[in-house]
Amino acid sequence: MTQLESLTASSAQQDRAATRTRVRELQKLMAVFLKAGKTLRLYNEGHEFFSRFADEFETRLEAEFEHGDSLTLEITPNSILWDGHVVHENKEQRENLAFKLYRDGVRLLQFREGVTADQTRDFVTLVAREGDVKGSGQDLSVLFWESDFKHIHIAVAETFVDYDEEANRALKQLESDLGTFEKEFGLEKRELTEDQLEELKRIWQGGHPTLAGGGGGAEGGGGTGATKGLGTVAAPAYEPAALAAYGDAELHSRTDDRFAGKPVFDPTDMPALPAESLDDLSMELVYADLHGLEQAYASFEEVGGVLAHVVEGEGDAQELVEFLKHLDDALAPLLSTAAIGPLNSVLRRIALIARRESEAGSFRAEPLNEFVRGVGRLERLQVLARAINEDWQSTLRGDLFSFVSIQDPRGFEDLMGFLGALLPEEPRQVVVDAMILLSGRRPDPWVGALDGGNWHLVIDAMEALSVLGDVPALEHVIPLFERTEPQVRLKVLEVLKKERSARIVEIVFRGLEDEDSAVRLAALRYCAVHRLKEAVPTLQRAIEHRAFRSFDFSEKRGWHITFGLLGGGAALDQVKNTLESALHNGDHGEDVHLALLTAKAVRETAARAWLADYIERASGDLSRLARKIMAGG
Amino acid sequence: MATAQTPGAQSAHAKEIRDRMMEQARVHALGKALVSRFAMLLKTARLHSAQNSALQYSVKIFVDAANELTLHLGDFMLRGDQDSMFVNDVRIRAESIVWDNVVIMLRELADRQLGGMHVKGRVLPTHVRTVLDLFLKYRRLDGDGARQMNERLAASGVDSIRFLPRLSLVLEAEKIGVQEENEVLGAVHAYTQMVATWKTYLETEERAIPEVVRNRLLHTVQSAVDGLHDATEWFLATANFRRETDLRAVHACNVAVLSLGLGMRLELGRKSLMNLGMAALYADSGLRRVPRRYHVVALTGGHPPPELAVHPYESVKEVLQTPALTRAQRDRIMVAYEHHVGRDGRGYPPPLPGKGLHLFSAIVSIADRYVELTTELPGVPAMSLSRALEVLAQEEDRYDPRLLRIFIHMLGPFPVGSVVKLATGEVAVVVAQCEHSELRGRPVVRIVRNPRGVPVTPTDFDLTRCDAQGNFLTSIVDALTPKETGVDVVRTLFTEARNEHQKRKAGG
Repeated sequence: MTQLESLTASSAQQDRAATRTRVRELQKLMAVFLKAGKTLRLYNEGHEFFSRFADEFETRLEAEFEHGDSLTLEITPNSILWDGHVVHENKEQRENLAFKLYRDGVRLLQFREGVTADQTRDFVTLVAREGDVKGSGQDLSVLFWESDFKHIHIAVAETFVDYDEEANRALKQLESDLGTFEKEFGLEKRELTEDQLEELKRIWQGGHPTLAGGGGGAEGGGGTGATKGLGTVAAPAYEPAALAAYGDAELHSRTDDRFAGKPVFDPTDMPALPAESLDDLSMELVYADLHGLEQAYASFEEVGGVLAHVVEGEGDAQELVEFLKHLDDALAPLLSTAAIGPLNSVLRRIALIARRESEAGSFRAEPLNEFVRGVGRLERLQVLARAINEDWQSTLRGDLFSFVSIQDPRGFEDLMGFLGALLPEEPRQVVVDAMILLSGRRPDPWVGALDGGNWHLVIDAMEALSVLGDVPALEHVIPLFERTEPQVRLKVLEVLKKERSARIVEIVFRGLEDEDSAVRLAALRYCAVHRLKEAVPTLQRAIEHRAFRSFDFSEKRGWHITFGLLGGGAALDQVKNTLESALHNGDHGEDVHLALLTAKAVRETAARAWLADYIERASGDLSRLARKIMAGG
Repeated sequence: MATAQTPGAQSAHAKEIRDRMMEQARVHALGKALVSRFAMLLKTARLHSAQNSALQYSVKIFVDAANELTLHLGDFMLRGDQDSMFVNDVRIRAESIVWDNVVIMLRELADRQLGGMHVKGRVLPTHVRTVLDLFLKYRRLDGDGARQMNERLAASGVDSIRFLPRLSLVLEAEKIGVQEENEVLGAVHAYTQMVATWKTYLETEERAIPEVVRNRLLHTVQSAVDGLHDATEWFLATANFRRETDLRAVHACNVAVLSLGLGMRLELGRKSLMNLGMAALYADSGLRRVPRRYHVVALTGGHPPPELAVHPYESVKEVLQTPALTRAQRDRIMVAYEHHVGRDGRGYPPPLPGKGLHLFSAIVSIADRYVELTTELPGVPAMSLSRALEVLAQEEDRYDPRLLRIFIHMLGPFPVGSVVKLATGEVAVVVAQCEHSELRGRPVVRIVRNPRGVPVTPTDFDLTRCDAQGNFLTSIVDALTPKETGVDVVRTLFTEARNEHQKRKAGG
């Protein structure tokens, strides 16, 4: 053996001896660790026994860092290895520490220099108490992760696939004897029995000497404790492998200007994505043309469509009722703001489904009809009426018509109330039209409304009956002429203007003497249209009456025209004097004006000839007035 | 420039402010009383029992305070959040005396995995004693603590109090050390709060969601929009959270996060973003009414089982629980219905005839599909983020092509949070996109595994680095999934953010 060989052999021998010593130290370290865990099975963390073992573990661990800045242990199913040497093994018991760690995915365990007493205690506690959290499905690797030990690290199973098969085998074996699993570190036995106390004393007495004999670290020192896995990364920062090939060579970034324009050879395995989506310039074009992607709020039409789908798709009656209740509440604000169009967008579809489901006899029919009925209930409609009264716009005519016509006919009474609450003429007209349609052109609901106290409603009912043209039903209108409201009396005459009967003529005559000008005019019109010659004396009396002077001109005009129309030549004779006088005195005032109107209204040929002659004879202002009247002025 | 106000207007304004302050002060005082008394009651009950007459006085004060708050607010949540207790959104300021009680309350809640209590009706002394009994009986509970406790409360006939769940994501965020210290961590905080609230929403047993929960949800989405504006890239990165236990809540929130990102790219205003965020969340709210086992089923051929296919309808019903058809509500309804409808008319439920998808629906459907593809489902492994983008591109007919391109452009070919394999064999997580258009495939990565697959100290590496000739040092050769590699993406991303922040704080 050469000197060199001898030296080498000697050195190798020394290394082996150091390794053996180191292995022994680590075996003791593991033994103390197990004892600490066992103690914890019987006592809590604050107990003196546990403190002693934990302290000893910490002292021994600290001694390990004299050999290197980390201690890395490899975990296999039955053993814990350091640098390939077994430092803990238990082949007999499946529930041993190594397997417990292994089972939970821990493959490497590394203690780094700087580990504190608190960390070691927490670590021992965590491993020992691991049984506590079994129910939660967490394993040791997760608990480690959560504990975030600064100087104790683990590597988990995913990176060590070569153990998987072995792990599976071990797990299968484990299934057969799970019952004994918690023995070593289990916490199921908290009470201390006599035997356990004895065992604990024995452990303690037996463990203590190892402390005294554990100072052999100085003879080792060859190993770094970093032979596997994590051991290589004990350095504070990791050096990326890509840098290794470049040593101290100057490096750059491809984003530097110096590389601008130079072709890039890029071996990156790029995902197959649309090329422009990765190119800023192309994307500028995309961003520049977002037409159609502007934010557009969902319209009521669209939402109505969705809600209809939901209603149609609902298979449970109770659910449907619940949904419709919410929908009903959601529609309330639309009613109170007279947002009839949006309201219709939803209601129209639901009403349609309700009708279809009713025809099909579906379970949905009842709740849907109730819903439609609910939207049209009186208190809701009164809210809508108030909103309409405050701000009516003619553009809403169509929406209002649709809204009323999709109501449940059973709610006709409520609609009548709605109609009664409306003030502007136009929406009332629209509602009447829609209600006529909704009632199937039946007069009886309207006849019923004639008795109401609300004169607005009475007028609308008369209007409806007039539109329906139901003559027998119109008979119910005649008594309304007795009402005190002139608007009602006027409407009676308007509604009946096409009909003729003794009863009607009677009220027309009374109408000629009515206190209200509009009613009188309506009666005059009736007389004119129906050529009621028997009214001539009445007309003449009225014109000659002193009170006639106080009528406004338009009414006087009505009276005179009607008088001329019905009175014929007799009427002309009545006004001839006035007109002849005017030729002489040049009068062209109101009386002359009215006389000319009477003359013009006479339909007889002789009368027309006289009038033509009169105009020829007239001059000045009188002539101009006469010609104007003849021309229709 | 300040506008002149009439004295009357000024006085009305001042009165409004004064009233608001008074209201807050009142809520705060009552909340403080609740926390203090509850801690005291627990201590006393441990010495005697929950039924002991020694508790009578404190029980009375607790009951009075709770009922006063209920009277005042309708219903309210007494909840713990990291290191503070809140009544709804009013933080209980912890002075020296109250502090101990706050800590006790937080610990007691945490031990049982509770997020707090929801008081929603008249509280009786017997209710309080029942709650105390439960706290004494169950000292520690696992992640489902709220459900277990609520079951027992219901069995005892207590209907005025329900426990709120504590979210594992919040716990996770606490582990990472997330607090509203800077905009990055603020974004994560906003995200976790959104998840927590949404989880509360989904787990509410009652058919009607309490007003207080809905309001809180709005508040958290507001914070999320703030987070999006303050730290867009980090906020989008929060969509990498995946927790199996909170999958339903996390899924919806991730969809919301990505939808908000896309909405911001479209330059939607703040209010529109709010609406979009809420609509994205509500899209899956109907899952609350779908049996749990169907929540995570993979679709076969794009067709869900009938039990799941009804969830858009159910979501519409959920939205309508807020009975209004305002613009925001209408948007929510449309998204709830359409978020699984494709632009080509495929998907479910049947599309509305004669109209294109609502903009928000088009956005949410892209985000939803992306999150779905990248989530582990029973029998269907999660895809890598890049692969999911590829699949979206292949399904282009389903989406508006411009929106899809913007979405991909926003995330990049290797979105932040992607786990990638480098040519050197190392495994890394993408932490920042390269802003240079031609180098989009070269993000900054954080190396977490060495070539042998062994975990290493996370080290950032800019993939645009090259030698003097412009040759890259290394490149991405494969996109992987977190499961394949065992890499915890969220921790990798945000723990470092926390550390860097702390370093900066210590240095500056």
